[in-house]
Parts: sequence; C-alpha cells; structure tokens
Amino acid sequence: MSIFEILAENLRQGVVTLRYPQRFPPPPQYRGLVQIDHENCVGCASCAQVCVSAAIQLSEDGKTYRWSYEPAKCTFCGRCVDACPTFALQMQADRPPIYHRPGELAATYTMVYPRCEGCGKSFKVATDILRQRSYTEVSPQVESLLRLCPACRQKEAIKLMIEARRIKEAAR
Amino acid sequence: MSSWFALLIFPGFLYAVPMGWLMLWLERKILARLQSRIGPPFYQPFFDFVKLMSKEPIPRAKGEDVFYLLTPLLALGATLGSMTLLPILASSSSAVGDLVLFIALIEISPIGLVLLGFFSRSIFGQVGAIREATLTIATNLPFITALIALGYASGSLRLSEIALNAPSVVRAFALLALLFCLPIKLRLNPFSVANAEQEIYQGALTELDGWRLGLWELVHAVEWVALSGLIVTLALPWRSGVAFLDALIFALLSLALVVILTVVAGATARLKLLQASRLYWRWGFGLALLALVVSLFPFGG
Repeated sequence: MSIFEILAENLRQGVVTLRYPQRFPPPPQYRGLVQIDHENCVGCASCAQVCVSAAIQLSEDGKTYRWSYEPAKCTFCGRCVDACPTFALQMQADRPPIYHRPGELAATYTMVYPRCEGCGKSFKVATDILRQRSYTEVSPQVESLLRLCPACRQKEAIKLMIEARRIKEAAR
Repeated sequence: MSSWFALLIFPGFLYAVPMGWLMLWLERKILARLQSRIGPPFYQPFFDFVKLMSKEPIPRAKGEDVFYLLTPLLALGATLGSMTLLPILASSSSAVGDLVLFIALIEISPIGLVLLGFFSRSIFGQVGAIREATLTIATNLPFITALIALGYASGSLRLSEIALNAPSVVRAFALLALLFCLPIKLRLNPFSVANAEQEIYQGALTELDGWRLGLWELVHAVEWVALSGLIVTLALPWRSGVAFLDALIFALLSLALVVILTVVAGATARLKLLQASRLYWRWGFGLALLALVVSLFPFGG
C-alpha cells in the first residue's frame, strides 16, 4: 500500500478526532483528581510525605489538622493513593474539569481531633480500618479504650491488666 | 501603481499577511485531513500570532532584544519587498534587473535565521543554523540557475518580461526546478531538515518565545506568499489586464500550489541533511542546468 493510498483512505474515512469541548471517555484505569474519604483519614501525613510535587500538604496545630490538595501542582502519579494505610485516598477515573488559574480546584479538609474522654486533650483518631488492622477483633472494651488519648489509653490498659491479674489470683 | 501601494497594500502587507496566514492554515488543515484529524479553524494562525505577541517574554539583555527585534523586521521587510517585485498585474511596475533584487531580498530571511541560530547560543539553534546554511547553499544552486536560464531565454532580467516572454520549454524545466526548491525554502517535508522538530526542536527558532517567535512566524507566512507567488507569476504567460481578475487568479493559483506542496509534505518523511543536499545538487541542479542548456539553443528560445 503506497503512502498516497493510505492518505486517500484517511480522506475517505473522514475525521476521527473531536472538536475540543467534546472528548473521548478516558480509559477505566485513568488517574484523575485525588479525592479524600474523610471517614477513613487518620491524618498520618503519609500522602504528604510521598507527594513529589507537594500538591498534598498537611498542617496541624494540636487540635485540628488540615489536609490540602492543589490539583494544579499534582502530577497524578498516584503515589499518595499507594501510600495511604487506611485507603482514604482515591483517584477519580475521569479527567479533571477545565480550570483557568492555579488554585481553582484546590480542596481542603479540616478535621477537628476528638477529645480524650479521660483528660480532655485532643488526640489523633483511629478509624475503623486502622482498628481492624491493629486489633482484628474490636471488642467493646477496645472500643472504650480507643476513645481515650494514647497516654490515658496506656494508663487505662495497665489498670485493666492489673485488674485482670487480681481477678485471676483471687480465683486461684 | 506606486511602489508604496505595492509594498503596503497589494501584493504587500495588506495582502501578503492575511494570505500567509491563510496558507499556513491551509497547510495545517490539509495535513490534518490527510491524517484523519479535524485540524484548526481558518483563523488559527491569526490567533497564534496574537497569542505569541501578547505573551510576556522571558527577560533578556537589552542588546539581545535589539537583535531579536531587528532581524525578523528586516526579514519581513525584505520578503514583503520581494513581493512588490512580482509582476502580478499587467500594470505592475518593473525595474531593470528586478530579478537580481528579488533573489537578494528573498535570501534575507534564511540569512537572518542562520544569524539567529548562532546568536541564540543554543545547541539546537546552532545545529539548525548550520543545516539552514548548508541547505540554503544546496537549494540556491538550482534556484538561481533556473532563474538565470529564464532570464537568458527571455533576454531580460525584468521579472515582468520573463513572465510574459520566456519560451515554454525553458519555462517548463526552469519552473520544475524552482518548484523543487520550494519545500526546502519553506522548510517543508521531506526537506524540513533545518527545523526538524523531533530532532532539534525548532532549529534556529528554538530559543525564541513570545513576540520574538511571533515575528518569525509572520516572516514565515509572508515567505509562503512570496515564494509561491514567484512560481505562479512566472508560470502565467499572460495577464488579463483587469487588475481584480489577475489578482484573483494569482491568489487561487498560489493556494493550489500550497495544496500540492502540503500533499507532498504529508506523504513524505524527513530526509537527512546529506540526502537532501545531494538531491538538490544532483537532480535540482540537473533540472536547472537542462533549462539553461535548452535556453542556449534557438528552438528553446
């Protein structure tokens, strides 16, 4: 097939591209905007740690943490999604919308840390997924422990252990 | 017809610039259709120009900017000037030896590009400049030989007399040789060696941005009009005398030439520098030489 036949065939076939606002749908594995699932995020900052282009940034002041994402900086590499231990991050399977200046699509999410039921201090929350991973079986006792800050939890756990030993020895 | 009218209105600035943009568009559109793409709308080259001119350029030293401003303006002026020499209308003013002036003026832009490539201190610019210079020499051999053959056969160095009086055999060979030179002068495939974008970005233009690039795009557009115009005016052995009709025929034939060149460009791949030069030294020069030899014999003249 000579090149002229190919060109003629192309002419016969007609246009296969689309005029701009129309676009072909992206493939299923397309990596679009990063989205956060607030329910699962524990504020560990793994995503901000691995983000090569500093599109994801995390700041905290002891009582709240702020997760911010700037798509204009994002390279859509997907490392944040891989790094997230609680599967809180996902990428849209669609192209980002058209935007005209940086910052237009920026998303922030501010989470207020829960307060410890014991001492009233703010502490980082453990989400369901993290609980499943750490404790495999979440008993009501564990549940009540998780509502405490790490320091109080430690004290409470030691108390429980001493209590358990006492009961054991009394039984003997 | 005054030369100011020719320079500023027809076939100069007011005709050549929109026509150049139309040719650039036609080239892109045809290429797109040959590749089953939509291609740009007809005003795209104009928009490109406006966009480039309105962009904030990378700051450079004042002295450099003088060079970046003057070279394209000089090339633009010279190319527009060469347009005014084309005997498009029956009333076109023609001076003795305007063929020589035409060759001189049309060569300003390649020389500007070569200077620019070296001036930009970019490795790609320098490679582009070297290629441009090598090809300019290779292509000008058949180009000028063919024009000499035409001039000799018609016994004049006036473009208008060559256009009207050149004997048909010489004209045919010479025009073929001239046509053969166009892809290289317009940096089209398969001779787009000097601006080979996949290898050396934009050649001499690699380092340019904003208005510096915009001005050269404009020069390129006008080059299209001037070089296709030369072929068309030399190919037409008569003028109707009606200015509007002559201008229209000139414009339409120029556009037809764009179609031919684009289809060839779309069907071919880029040659190497050596292959391209060899083609011109051998076949281009051979063709031009044939025209020259024919013009020496009475049956050609």
